[in-house]
Order: sequence, then C-alpha cells, then structure tokens
Amino acid sequence: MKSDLLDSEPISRKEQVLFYIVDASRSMRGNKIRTVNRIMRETIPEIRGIGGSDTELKIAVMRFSNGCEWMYDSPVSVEEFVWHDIEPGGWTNLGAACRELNSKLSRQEFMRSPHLSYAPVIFLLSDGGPTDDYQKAVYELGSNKWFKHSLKIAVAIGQKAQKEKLSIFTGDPEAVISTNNSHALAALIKQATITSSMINSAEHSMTEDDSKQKLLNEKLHEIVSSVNNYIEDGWDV
Amino acid sequence: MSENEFRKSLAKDPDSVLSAISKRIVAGWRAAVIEYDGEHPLNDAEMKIIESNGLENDDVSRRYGATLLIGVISEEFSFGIQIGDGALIAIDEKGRTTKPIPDDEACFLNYTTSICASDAIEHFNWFYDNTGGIRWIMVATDGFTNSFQSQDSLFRQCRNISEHLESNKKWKDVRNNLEKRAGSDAADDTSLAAVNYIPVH
Repeated sequence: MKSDLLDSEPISRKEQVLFYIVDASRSMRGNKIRTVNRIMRETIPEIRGIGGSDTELKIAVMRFSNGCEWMYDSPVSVEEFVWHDIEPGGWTNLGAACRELNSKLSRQEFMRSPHLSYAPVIFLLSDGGPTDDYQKAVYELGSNKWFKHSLKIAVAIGQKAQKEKLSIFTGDPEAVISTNNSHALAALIKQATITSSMINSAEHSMTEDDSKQKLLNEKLHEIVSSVNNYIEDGWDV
Repeated sequence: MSENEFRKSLAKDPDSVLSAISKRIVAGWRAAVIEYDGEHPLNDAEMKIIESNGLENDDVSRRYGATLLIGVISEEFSFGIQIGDGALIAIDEKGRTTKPIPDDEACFLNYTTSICASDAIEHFNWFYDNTGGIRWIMVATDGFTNSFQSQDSLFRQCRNISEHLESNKKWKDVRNNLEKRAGSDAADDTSLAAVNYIPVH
C-alpha cells in the first residue's frame, strides 16, 4: 500500500455553528417577517468567509410557532446555506423552541462534529410575547452546557417587542438589541453576526466565557448606537 | 489472581472487573503523583499558576491532569477503558470500524474529564467484547480525532492505517501523517497508539 493513502482523508478546519431561532408566530405577520426574511437572505451571503481559512462557519435555523421546525436537518456550511422564506402563523411557543434547541445542543445531535472547536452563537429573533410555559423551558435550557457557554443575542423585532421577556432567554438585558427601522435592523443583524462570530473564535481560554459575553454586549451597544445614528428614517418594522 | 482466574472473572462480570481496574489506576496515579510532588516540589513560578487557579489548598494530586485510553485484545475477548477526551477505535476481522466507547458528553470544547479529578472514578467508561473478532484497537488523543471532518473520515483513516501497518509496518509513514494533522491545530497534541491481534492458525 502506498503511504499516499494515509494522506487521503482531508484535514478539517475548526468549526463554529451560528443558530438563528426565528419567531414565526402570527404576531410576526406582515412587515416583521418580510423584513426578517429579506435581511437573512441578504446577510448570509455577506458573512461568507468571515471565519477565514481556519474556521468553517455553519448555520442552523429553527422557526417556531405552534411547533418547531429546522430549516435543514443539521447545521449547513455558510458557503452552501440558502435561506428559505419563513411563513408566519400560530402561537409563540418559545418554551417548545427552547426544548427543541436543548435537544439539539448535544454531541449526539447538532454538536456531533468531531472538529467542533467553539461554543455556538445563538440568535433569537422575536417580537416577544411567548404564549406557552417558556420560563421552565428556558431554565432547563440554561443547564445545557453548550447553551451555558454560548454567546446569546436576542434581536427584538418591532416597536412593541417585549424585550424583558427576550432577556430571559439571553440571561442578560444587555444582550437584547433592537433598532428603529428595517435598514438599521439589517445592519444590526449583519454586524452582530460578524462581531459575535469573531469574539467567539478569538483565542480565549474557556474560563473567560463570561468575559466574552460582556465584550459582546459592549460591542452590541456600540453597533446599536452606530446603526441608529446613521439611519433615521423612522420605524417601519 | 492468576491469568485464568482473571479471564473467568472478566467473562462472568466485566463491569465489576473493569471498574476495579479503573479504581486501582486512580489510586496508583494519585500515589505516584504525591510521591513525585514530594520529590519535585513546584517552584515559585509554577506555584503562582496554581494559586491563580485557586488550587493551592487542593490535594496535590489534582495538579497533574491526564486523560487515559487503554486497549486490550486477546483471542477470546477485548476491552478498553477511557477517561477524558480522544477516542478508542476498534476494527474487527471484517473491517467493521466502531467507537465502542461513545463520546462522553462531559468532554466538550476545551473541557475534559481527567484522572486528577476528585470524582475521576465516576468518569471512567469502558467496553468489553467477547466475540473474539476485534483485530485492531487504536487509541488517539483529541488532536488526532478532531482533525477529521466526520466520524466516517476518522474511521476510514484508522482502516487505512491498519492496512498500511499490516502490509509494510512503516510507523514512520503514520508518524508523518500525524505531524501533518498536528499542523491543523497545533494547540492540541496529536498522538496515536495501536494494538493488533493476529490469530495463530
């Protein structure tokens, strides 16, 4: 046998998974979900390559309303990811979404890649207003070690979004961000994605998880200020 | 215990025997670390690192962490023991490749169980096989296992290595491949050991 065969299996890059948990309830109908769909369609191609040659970025998207549904069966490389528009309808069962997320944050499920090198980054996009027993589910999710070490961001969609309820998911009101129009929201999601991914993959020891989230919160504050400063065309989401 | 008694005990109650082996390993490791620490006390710089991690009042045996992977094959049985990250891969006579000790959910990212933990014995995992069909057991640290894009790819490579070693026994080629893989993530150590059982017909 030639020794070349020993070199036939490719060497992996480090891997990072970005989760987007999207509220697809009836209250998201109209401009809110249209805006989220448009922003995500535009943002994903723009974040290709942010991991550089060292890191493979993968994306997992879940829509939730009465039930939960993943856009793909497993995390998909950002290079191949195609956004499918989400149709709204039904209740805001955030608790069910948290239980589903909890089940996938496992070595046996979405975190099974052997070269997974970073904790995930998790975005919740919602206008708040959960209609099920979400607090217990969020509490249970909080004991999942992947979730515990993840960077968490909630993007409040719409003028009347219930931010305080979203902060239960992030565990920190500083990690709940919002803005005043769809253009700013697009910039916000894109910049938050890039920033969180970069902070997450920077060389920190794992004992610095809290400081990573704090650093991210500071950056999020700067991002919100900057996008709200340069775009002031009123609320339209 | 004679070799024959050991075989009988293992066949009768493998969990008890492998648990007892694990306990003896932990006790032996701790005794060895304490003895070593007595002969080679930490210098000031090392002690500062211990203090910065809040471990200065802990048992000295906690200062020396390690993962441990063991693979044994005989004509009648095989077993493996693991604590910590990395993996144990088994290949049977038909080339079927498995990870008989599943990944431990407690090992993720930079976290790993370790023989130095006060509850180390709770984190030992093992397998026992009495089919007599296992021909290879490979044990590898996480630098090696993490360098593959999938478990299937890891398994193919283990089969490639076994076939390579069966045909020409050139460990040097394997070592060269490991060095290339170590380059993909220099922070992790990349090491592999293998045991091969060749039946005598």
